Amino acid sequence: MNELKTEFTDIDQLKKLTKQSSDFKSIQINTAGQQVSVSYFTTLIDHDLLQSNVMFPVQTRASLSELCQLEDIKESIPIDDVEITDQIEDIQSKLFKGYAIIQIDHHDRKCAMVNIANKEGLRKDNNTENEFSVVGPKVGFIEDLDTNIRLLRAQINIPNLIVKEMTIGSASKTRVAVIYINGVTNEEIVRTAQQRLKQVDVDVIFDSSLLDQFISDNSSTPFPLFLTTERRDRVVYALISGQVAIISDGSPYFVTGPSTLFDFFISPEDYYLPWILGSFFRMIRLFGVVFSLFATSLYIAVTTFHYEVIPRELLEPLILSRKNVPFPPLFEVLFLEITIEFLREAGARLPSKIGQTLGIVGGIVIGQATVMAGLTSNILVIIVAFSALSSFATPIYKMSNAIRFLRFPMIVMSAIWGGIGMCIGIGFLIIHITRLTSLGTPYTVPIYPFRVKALRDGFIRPSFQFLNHRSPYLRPYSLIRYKPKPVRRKKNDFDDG
Amino acid sequence: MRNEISEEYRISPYFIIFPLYVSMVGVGVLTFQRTLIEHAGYNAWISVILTGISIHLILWMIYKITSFNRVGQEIITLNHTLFGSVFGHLLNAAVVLYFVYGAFVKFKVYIELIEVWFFTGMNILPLSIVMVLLIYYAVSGGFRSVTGLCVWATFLSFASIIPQVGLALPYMHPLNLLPLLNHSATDIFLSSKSMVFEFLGFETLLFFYPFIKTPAKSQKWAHMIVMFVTLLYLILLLMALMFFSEGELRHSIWPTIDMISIFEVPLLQRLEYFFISLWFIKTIAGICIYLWVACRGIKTAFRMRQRHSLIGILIAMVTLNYFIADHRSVERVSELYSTVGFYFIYAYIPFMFVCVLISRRRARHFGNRGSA
Repeated sequence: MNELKTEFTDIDQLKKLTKQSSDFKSIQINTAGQQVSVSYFTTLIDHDLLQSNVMFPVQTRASLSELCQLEDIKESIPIDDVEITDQIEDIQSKLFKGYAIIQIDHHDRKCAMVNIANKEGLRKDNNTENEFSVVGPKVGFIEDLDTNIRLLRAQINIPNLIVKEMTIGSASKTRVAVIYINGVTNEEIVRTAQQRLKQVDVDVIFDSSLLDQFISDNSSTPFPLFLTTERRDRVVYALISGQVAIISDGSPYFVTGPSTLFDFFISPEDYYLPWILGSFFRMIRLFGVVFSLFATSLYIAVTTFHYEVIPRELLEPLILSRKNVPFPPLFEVLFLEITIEFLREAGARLPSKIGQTLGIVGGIVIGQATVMAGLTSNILVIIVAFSALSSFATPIYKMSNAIRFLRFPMIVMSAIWGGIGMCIGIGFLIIHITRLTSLGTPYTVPIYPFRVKALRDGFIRPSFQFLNHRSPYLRPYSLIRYKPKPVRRKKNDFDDG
Repeated sequence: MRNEISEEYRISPYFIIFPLYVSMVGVGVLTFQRTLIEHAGYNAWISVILTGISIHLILWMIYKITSFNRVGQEIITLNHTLFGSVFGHLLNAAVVLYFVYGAFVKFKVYIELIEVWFFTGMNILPLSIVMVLLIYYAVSGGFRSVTGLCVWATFLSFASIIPQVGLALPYMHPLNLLPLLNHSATDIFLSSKSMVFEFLGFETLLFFYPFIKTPAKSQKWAHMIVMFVTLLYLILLLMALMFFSEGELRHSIWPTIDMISIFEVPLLQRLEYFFISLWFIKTIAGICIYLWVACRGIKTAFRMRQRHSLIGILIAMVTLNYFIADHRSVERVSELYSTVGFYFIYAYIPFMFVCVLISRRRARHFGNRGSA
């Protein structure tokens, strides 16, 4: 079942698989009577070391026909970490740590492993900037494609990780990599992604987000159809569960897909916390989405049309707070909502230190002053602040943008027809999301089409014992991720062995 | 005939519970108790069970009809093959018209509900136009999009029905149900007849049968959902019977809503505003199923593009809706639908069943002779 544990018998077989990746390189040096081959992952090695300390001595000595045995290499290369081995597991693991394989005879089972791993090259500060988490690694990607792939290979240490490169952009000639795991990801998904990328005709690729829009199934939707992330753990999780990751050179953001609506409300942190807490936070997040979508429009619907639904004891403070407000609820709400959007937009453009001041000015001064001036009721300030806050609880920025945007049509609809208007809005929303697809996979997948197994990791985050299956809607080649730990036998009584 | 439907447009067998549930349970849930007790009084719950059993029988017939000779047989092609071109066309037109009419009745009854409970005296034209746009958006997405809407609609309708049962419990008077049998069999059967109206909708299966993957497997699910709907009606009826006295119930036009308006939860009262609003999505989903069925029928029967026929039907619906205004004519319209539906189910479907049986026997007869 678990095809990830591929066993190789010799180097040729290993090379056959690794050759599928475009960052794997094998150089043949042919001189009189001698054939020396040097193989390595370009993204993992230090090119200076390779050129001056490996290629140069090997080439010169080979041309003099002085390389007859692997031991000669040890002598000719000025690097201390050279090992001669025929243990395939050893070769495989070292290859992914940035070693180069040197073979003298093509069919020799033995080879020399030379350590030319690239130890630096990371940006000084490659912490995640926008997708923060308290628990868990803070490794994020940077603007260099090779470094990003090295970061990925550091965590997925198997030859099955395939990197397919292509060039897109008539002016920028940007390198774009499609990454997937061979034996897990369905070929059809990879093919669809590659085909759509090939059809992209644009002059400059500025960011992966651009690709995201070019290859999406439906470009006129507020919802993001692919997950965009700068976190390494998120990309690794996507790959290991059978998705495809796409990145362009010069962008710190990976695009992973096919994504479903629920993927956007999952935070890696859910998995780093005990499952009870993880589930609780996830449910809070989902509740936040519903609240942020409907809270203000519900306020409008109730205060404009359906005063009856508020019990008398609560109606009194509500009316008192609205007593001095001269506008209908619609303008009151729009005024506050747009203020919050201004604050967000301005805060995003300012340096973080000024941003904090802005938050104080916006949150406290404007909020307090509008109530004092009688422009809005203070109950509404609370509701709007709550719904803005809950929209930011969504871990993916693009999704929280979509949710904040969708509030406005809901507000307008509820101002026209009250509860019915809201439900018309909900109706449009439901039909819209059921019609969406991401790389051909339905967007609302664990709900419709209903998949019980995928729903397991949906509203709650179950314990790892139940997380060992990949989601069947991605049609992965191997369904099982790992064997769950055997269930401990129940004791007969409290204190029995 | 290019009748094979490609795999990506089909749904899994168990998924038919959603379109079936949505097309059966309509606005009728809010109002059926009053008409039901007209004849059988507080014995009407027997009628619900009787009707439920008869619906199971008809459902079984539908499966026999649709699995007539090969996979992917729906009623339109069947009419054509059984009754020839001219008569088949006439029959098809009638069947399609029946579904369009059914969609219109759902639409009209719900709009009337909004007029009475939400906005008395509002100009209904803009609202109906927006509703029609919504319907167009859903139906133009094809059968999968319509079923998707049905799934959400089913969940939302449960979300409104389940709390209702819980909230009603403190107000129940179980002794209302006694005496258990004080009406004649005729009365109970007459009530059963009026109950049929609430089950109308499952006949849409005649059309979307070919859209099910391995349709034969769906039969148990279909029976299950009919059983569930019968149970649902039974619970709602018993709740109303125990909640109202018989005299009160006879005068209540929307007993379910009247009941809900009594309940209170912390922070909220008059829950019927939420209930009716949520019921909007369920109603839209029901209309969508009907209209999808009608357009599909028009397409297979008359080779007309679904987009054009859908636009035509929707315009007709808005116009008709504008001219039929008062409660009396709405009642007449839905009564006519109930009568036509009654004959569709208890005359047309058994008739088709017999025809299919005869033609199958004849085919087998000829087949045997041919092979001999």
